[in-house]
Amino acid sequence: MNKNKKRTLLIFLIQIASFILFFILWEILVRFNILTSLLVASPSQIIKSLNIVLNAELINALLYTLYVMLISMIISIVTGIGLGILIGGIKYLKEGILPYFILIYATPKVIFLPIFWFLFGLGLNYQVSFAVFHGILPIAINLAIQINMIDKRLITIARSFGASSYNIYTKVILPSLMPILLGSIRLCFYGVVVGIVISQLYIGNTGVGYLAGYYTATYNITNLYGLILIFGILVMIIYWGLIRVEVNYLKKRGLLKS
Amino acid sequence: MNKHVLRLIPLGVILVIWQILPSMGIISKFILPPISSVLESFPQLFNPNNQFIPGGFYYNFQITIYEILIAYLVSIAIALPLGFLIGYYSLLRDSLEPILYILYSIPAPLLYPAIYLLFGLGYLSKIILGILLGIFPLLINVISGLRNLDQMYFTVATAYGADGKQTFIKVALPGSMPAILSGLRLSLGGTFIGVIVGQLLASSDGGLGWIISFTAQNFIIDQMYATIIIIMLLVYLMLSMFEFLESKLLKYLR
Repeated sequence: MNKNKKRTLLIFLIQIASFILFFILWEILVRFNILTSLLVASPSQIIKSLNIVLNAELINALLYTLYVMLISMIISIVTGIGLGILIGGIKYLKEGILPYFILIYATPKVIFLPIFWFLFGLGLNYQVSFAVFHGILPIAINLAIQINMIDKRLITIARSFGASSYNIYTKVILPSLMPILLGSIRLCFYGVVVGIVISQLYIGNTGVGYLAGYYTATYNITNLYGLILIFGILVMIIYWGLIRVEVNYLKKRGLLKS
Repeated sequence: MNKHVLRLIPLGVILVIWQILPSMGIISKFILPPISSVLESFPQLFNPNNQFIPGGFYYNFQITIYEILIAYLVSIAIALPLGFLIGYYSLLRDSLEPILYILYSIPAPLLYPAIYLLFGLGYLSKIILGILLGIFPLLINVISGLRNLDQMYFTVATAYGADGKQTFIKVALPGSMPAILSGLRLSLGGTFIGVIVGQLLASSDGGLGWIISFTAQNFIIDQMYATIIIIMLLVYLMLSMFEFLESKLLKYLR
């Protein structure tokens, strides 16, 4: 086995080992009461009562939350792209408004949560609007910045070869934006999930966040940790999927040195 | 047009809309009180004998700053050495970096109820939440900063006979400084967000986030908006401070 293959194997082993170590540590901490089993459920407890954990309530909440995530993602991406191109394209908007977008991106947007509650009541509109508020910013900001970094010579060359506006848009501008766009979609997803969970946790009676708060308030520890584990794994899988899409696209374009 | 004047125009537009829309009744004064009444509520907010908010503004502000500072310092103390350790040894980096990225993707709000259970509703849970959100940006930035450092620098250093410590101080540290500064900025932002969200969702000790939740649920809307303005000013202060630091430090190092 040559050196490279050995190294890849070693890396894989370290990753698997950390993964297993984490679960073993968790199990030990709870079993020996270092973390009181009144407040923490161990992995074995979750697996033993999996049929109780995976009840209809939880599955409904998961499906509903996924549905809200999908809607919020679509709205954030479409609106974010439009907003980003608009702000980046017009010089006065970029200089004047973009700093405010960046400022809002850095603030804990949860301080605006009660305002969304007043405006939209409870339920889908409230959650989606708050999630879109979180998700739209990375896309708009990154696109606005990136659109000015497109190599203007490429556009000139395309024009001199007789490209129409539509051609320039699809063959020059869009491909130049794609890498940043894919990365921003990842950030958007993170923001959307955070927005949804916080809005559900704060107020309302639907979704994963609400269920987490409910289980906490009723000290239903096994279900709580089961919910955290399952939803966490779900989010990680989707996130990992987004990373793979981005990496594959970059590799196809030859932009990733691998 | 001057860049700074250009930046004030949206602010002016927002203030004008903020005053006109509620005053004319287009938006309910209940959802968005006019900026005049929000500004009028500032003295009330800062009044030590504030009848609306238990503890007054200063106590909550103090608690928030205290929690943020402790969480920030602890996350720097953990993330900086750990980041250098992982970033320096390529085996550790290649194996642990993907794990870190995946861990970073876990939505922190999901862990909030569990943390509240374990650590109560007092300052400890807020600090822990701040640490959770503050560690990852710094860790990831330090690791990627070290990785993007040209290997040539290290080769030259060894060729000139530098030992491990000298290489670290003279090559690795200055070279990754932009990434470290950026990571420090993101980490402070993350700590800030973690603490404020923690205070808003549930808090027995109060704090700025708690004020927002409390005033919202008791419909003391003017003071809620006043606190929102204060928090945004804090964020602006924080970002400006880092902009200043970055300009000074990077100039010195280059």
